[in-house]
Amino acid sequence: MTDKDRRQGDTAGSRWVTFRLEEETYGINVMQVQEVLPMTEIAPVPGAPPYVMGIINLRGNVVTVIDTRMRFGLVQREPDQACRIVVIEAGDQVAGILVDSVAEVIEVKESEVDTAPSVGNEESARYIYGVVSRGNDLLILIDVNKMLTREEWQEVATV
Amino acid sequence: MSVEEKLLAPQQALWNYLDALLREIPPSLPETDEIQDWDPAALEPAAPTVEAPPRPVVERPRIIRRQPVVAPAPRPVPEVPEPIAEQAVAPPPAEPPAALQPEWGQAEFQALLFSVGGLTLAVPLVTLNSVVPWPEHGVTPMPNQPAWCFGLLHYRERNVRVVDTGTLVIPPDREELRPTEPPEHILIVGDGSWGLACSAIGNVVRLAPDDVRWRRGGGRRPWLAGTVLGHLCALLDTDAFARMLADAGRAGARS
Repeated sequence: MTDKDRRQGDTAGSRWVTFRLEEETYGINVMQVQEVLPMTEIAPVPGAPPYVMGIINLRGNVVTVIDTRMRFGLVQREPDQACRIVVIEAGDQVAGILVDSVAEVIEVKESEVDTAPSVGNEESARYIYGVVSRGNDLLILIDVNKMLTREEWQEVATV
Repeated sequence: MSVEEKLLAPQQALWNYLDALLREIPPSLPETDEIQDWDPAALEPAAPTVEAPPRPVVERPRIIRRQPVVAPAPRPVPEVPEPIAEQAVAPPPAEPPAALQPEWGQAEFQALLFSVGGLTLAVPLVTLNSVVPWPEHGVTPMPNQPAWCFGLLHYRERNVRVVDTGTLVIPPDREELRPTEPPEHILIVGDGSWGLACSAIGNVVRLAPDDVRWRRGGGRRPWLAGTVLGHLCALLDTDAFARMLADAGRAGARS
């Protein structure tokens, strides 16, 4: 989402696909989501970066699957059938991120989005778009474009 | 060991720990705050060569007091055990560093006692924003947050960063003091940016400046304002705590 989009969204809302990881809820802008796939076999790629789980075959196309737990500093867990692969578009790249489950699409007004206070390192601060309070929960909004650095995206493209 | 000895032993251990927190004097400096063998009273001409043995009446005060440095004798040879080291100190030799007394500690103030595991701490009410129970749904951990951070709490339109106080305050060699149960309360301090997780809330006490042994310069624990003498607990400087956490966050960003 560009700054212009953000300013225009002050009154308008944006829609976010929410997913769960380790009991926490995250959101990705719906414009960055291509589709959501059920859990399928992920073929590991020898020599791939550690944040790459492997590749899947999506209608004849190879899609690299990123280990979201590792990127978020969460405890590693063996995927189960409840997991989903969210196929995202980051610039001209297409990749998949593995999540515990996908919840719903919600509407968020820009005025509801708070800047996330810094508690971690710069890496996480880069891709956290903001936080939204919903009831008792805080929803963490993710900018998938910035989940990886430019060099890392280039590495993903060559997997 | 008698019952009294059994009761005194852990208290003495705790006092020793708290006392050690305030005795973080760099090796280059002599322990001038502790009365050494030299004493102004020993500089009487009658015994100029008296080196060390303290007179029976000489007390070793536990509280650091300024010692009159200027000796009336023409040869004020204090026979200081480490005169060279003493010269390394600021110009008035043997002057202990001044107490770092925060503004709120200049007059009588109130403080809330709280516990983190087996450790009791105190926070001045003037810097305490709110006390909230630990939310049933917990706080929201953020990606790649440091080990000392529990996550974010949305409270009064703010996203409060909740920290694991035990991890930050309890030394690594005091595992027995660490909490064994989840936190029960969050003390939101300062402008509401930070929350300190704690095990239990105690009483509010009224303290005079003299009731606190204030921290002196140096030391590795900038969050420590001093030690509350009557309650044997550490008194937090929440502003320094917040600065330390902010710096830790920035340091993590550079790592």
